[in-house]
Amino acid sequence: MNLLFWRRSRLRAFADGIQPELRAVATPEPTDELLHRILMSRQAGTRVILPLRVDERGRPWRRVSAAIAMAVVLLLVVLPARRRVRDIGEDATSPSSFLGQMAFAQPADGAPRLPGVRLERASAIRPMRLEYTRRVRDTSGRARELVISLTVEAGNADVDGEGTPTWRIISQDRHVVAGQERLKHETLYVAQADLRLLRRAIHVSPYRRFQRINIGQRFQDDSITGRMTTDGPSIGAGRGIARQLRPELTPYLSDAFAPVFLMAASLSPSWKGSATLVGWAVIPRDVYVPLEMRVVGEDRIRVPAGEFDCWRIAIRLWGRQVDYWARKSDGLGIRVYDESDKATAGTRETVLRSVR
Amino acid sequence: MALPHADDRPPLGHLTDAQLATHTARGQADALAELYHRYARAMLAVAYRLLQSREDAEDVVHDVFVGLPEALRRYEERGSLGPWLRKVTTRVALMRLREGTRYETVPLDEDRAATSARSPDAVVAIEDALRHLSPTLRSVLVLKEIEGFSHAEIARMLDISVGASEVRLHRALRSLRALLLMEDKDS
Repeated sequence: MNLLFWRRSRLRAFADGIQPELRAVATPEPTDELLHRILMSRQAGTRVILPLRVDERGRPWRRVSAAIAMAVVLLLVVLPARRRVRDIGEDATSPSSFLGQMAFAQPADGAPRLPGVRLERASAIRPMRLEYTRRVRDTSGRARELVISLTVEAGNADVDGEGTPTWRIISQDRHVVAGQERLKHETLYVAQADLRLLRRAIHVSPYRRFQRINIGQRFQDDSITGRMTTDGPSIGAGRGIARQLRPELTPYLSDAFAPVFLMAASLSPSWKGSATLVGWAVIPRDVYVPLEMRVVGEDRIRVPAGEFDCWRIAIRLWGRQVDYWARKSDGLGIRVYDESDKATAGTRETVLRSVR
Repeated sequence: MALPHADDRPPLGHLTDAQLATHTARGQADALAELYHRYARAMLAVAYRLLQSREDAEDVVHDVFVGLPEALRRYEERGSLGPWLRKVTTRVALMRLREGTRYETVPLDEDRAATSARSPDAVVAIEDALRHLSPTLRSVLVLKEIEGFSHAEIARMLDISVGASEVRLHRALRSLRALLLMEDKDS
């Protein structure tokens, strides 16, 4: 008994001794981005039911009623919803991209026909804030607009556990459909030295019948691992992600990276190269989107952000061709134009609205 | 990005918590933003300590603020708003922990850790050791030793008995001490 007391009091002394250090462990600072995300979610109609439990001990009849109610909810709502989560895991695929119309990524067979893009000017990537407007015009001539904002900033120094200096690229697409705001948010970390992908998180809300879908991915060597989860009407268990990244398809980029990716390439009149856009990778056919790119001309382009001398680049992806204009001075994406489905779906044009 | 200085905030800084709660419950975004400025730091801290992941902690705080206007309409507690928000955040973080939807742990920037450290080596060692504790033990340790909840409150939040909470704290402290000793030997 005495021994037990002695041990306990020593443990208590240990707990008291480490109190200052326990409290001094660093915690994140709240950011304006998080507040913005909260306000956007509210505006988009997202609602969360918070667990406001009162102390119900001492009121057994309430506990029994609650247990019965929970069982009914479980049978009527949660279990079917969990089945739906499994369903969505079967076909959760990345939505529309900066470079092209919504489509399923296609598995890449064989080696690409063009050499991989050499990212020899990685140091050209710099902190910046960009805003693009995308205008989608359907076959009847009706147009709708979508705003894409992109921030490039220095990221955590230890995203991969090895102290690699990183860029954090945050992309957000907003548009309104039938009075409801739709939001796609991607945060990507790339290594500053060679621009290899390290980690990304994607949130799309709403996504089909769910309030939100979340994709978390980590890139290491030749693999992507991570998890897909959904929020509301129930929170699902989600689905793990584990896919191989084929080395012959490098370099890899993600949708958030697309507007600044070619800043790291040495573009010229005869330039060409291949790269691979990474999908959500939840299902096997949404892992790779191979891109083939060729400079096909030079144009002076006027967009809301100004007038720029550009390289015109033909990009083949998803079996279609998209025209892309990169600023000659630094390779920044200025305009994307896709009319490959003009007769059936209309045209899509994305232009740079501002750059800071 | 840091939060704007107090001068840049919307002009609701003079309102009391109770007034802000009323405005927020009516759906006023600027009142919600002012509550964020007042309490997000503490809420993020408790969520991060429990989940050990910045993304998950931010998601928890996001969900609490998104649900706050409706929750405040049902808010009947007479205590002050800050502790109540911290408690709600804790519950949401614990729900997330139970669901196992946590992404992999990503430590915070080293420079940030250094600015807050009392004795940097010891803090980093404890941070590492905390990350190695199982979530069930870490929850009790964080809630009792850092957040200052009583065993009775922890038991209610975790849906366990008071005795189980005490046992978990004992095990957590023992594991933490063993991890720190191991680290000492390694170094």
